[in-house]
Amino acid sequence: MFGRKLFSILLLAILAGCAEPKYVKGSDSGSEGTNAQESKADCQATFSNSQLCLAWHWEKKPTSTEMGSLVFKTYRLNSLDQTPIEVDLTTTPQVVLWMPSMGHGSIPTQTARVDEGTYRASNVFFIMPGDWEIRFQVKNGTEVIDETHINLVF
Amino acid sequence: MKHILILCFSLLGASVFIGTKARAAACCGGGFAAPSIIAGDDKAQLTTSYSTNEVVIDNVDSQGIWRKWDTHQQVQTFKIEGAHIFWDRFQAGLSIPVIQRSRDSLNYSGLGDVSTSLGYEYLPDWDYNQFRPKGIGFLQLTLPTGKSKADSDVGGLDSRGNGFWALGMGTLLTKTWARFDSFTSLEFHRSFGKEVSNSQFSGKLEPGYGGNLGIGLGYNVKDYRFGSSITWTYEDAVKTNSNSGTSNDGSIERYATGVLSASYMASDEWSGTFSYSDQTLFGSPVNTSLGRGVALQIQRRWGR
Repeated sequence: MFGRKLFSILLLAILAGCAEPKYVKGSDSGSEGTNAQESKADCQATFSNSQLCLAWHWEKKPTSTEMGSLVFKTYRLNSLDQTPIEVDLTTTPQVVLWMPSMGHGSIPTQTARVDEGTYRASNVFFIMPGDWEIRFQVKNGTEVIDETHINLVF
Repeated sequence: MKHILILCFSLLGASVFIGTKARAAACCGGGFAAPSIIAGDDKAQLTTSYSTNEVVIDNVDSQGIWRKWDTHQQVQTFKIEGAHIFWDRFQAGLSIPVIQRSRDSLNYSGLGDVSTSLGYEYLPDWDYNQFRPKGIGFLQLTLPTGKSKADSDVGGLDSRGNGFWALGMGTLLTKTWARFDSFTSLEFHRSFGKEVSNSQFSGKLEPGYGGNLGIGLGYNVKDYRFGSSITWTYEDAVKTNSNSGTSNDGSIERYATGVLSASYMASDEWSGTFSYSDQTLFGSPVNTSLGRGVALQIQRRWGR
């Protein structure tokens, strides 16, 4: 009798502990989840030391199987009318994809200067869906001397 | 189908073969390694196991939202575990995993986190008491031999463990009633921080405490055993402090692993176990990936 009661309690406890998933489909088929969109002139982020602005947009959005690329611009605001003036960073920045909640990155990207204050990051690939940071880092050797980041859910 | 599986987990008995318990997080690296412990009346045991798991939920975020893609990681683990009674009620154990992780054409493999354990049978069951369980307490030291996901240059694909020194302690309680048996295991540990420097991150990682709670039931028919178990796993957030001055508090990780197993006792010395594990059925997972997999285990025991 005691065994049956104990078994029933255990059974109820286990069933009550069943997972209740809240699914979100991955971003393969749409633009869902991106916080920063294709505004090319907005100061979407600011570098911590130089105070330069950063604006970015997808050139090719990555999927779960294909790498993508993004274009970003760094600029200062004109002191007269606040219009953007593209400015080169001191060195070609490094773009790092970082998952802050899990504490890991993704496959390394490659960055190239396209024009004055304009850069392209290719090989952009998120290893899994979820909350990511795209970090734009200016380095002196291995030391990060200037940095900004944007958040997105991919 | 899911409800049938849940019912099976609830109705079938558990395995007391501790080695079949899956504790690795499916994502990158994994949870605390399960200790190798002699739960029966043997003098020594040696266990080899092979498991293959597929990540089916690629990410559960810190708000508990599940996301999946069409392409998943696969994780294969080959593990050798041994334990030996070395003095009266004391035993020592060693677990050596080798892990291969792949996604599409990318493929990485190597040694996982090696763990050693020291156990003591503090509740012996010499008189086969009807109610009192057999209790074994253990201390466990985990070596950072597996690459952690933060050490990875490829997003954790080449990670094979937590990669932290960790010290843990816990207990295993077992009880047999006629054809039924059961176990309860409780373990907690403290992982220690370390410096990391790679192309994506330079700074210090600060992990915290973690723990596992497992329960299981088993039913024996002649030379066969049918079992099920559930293990709930928790890990504190890993804080990251980069050398550039930025820091992130991270997020706790939580998941539950259910295991169904079928064992065959070929003799007093040899047994084999086939098991199915699923991390999508139980608990309230956060900040992790979830997988399903199968495992095959062969165990050799030496009697006292």
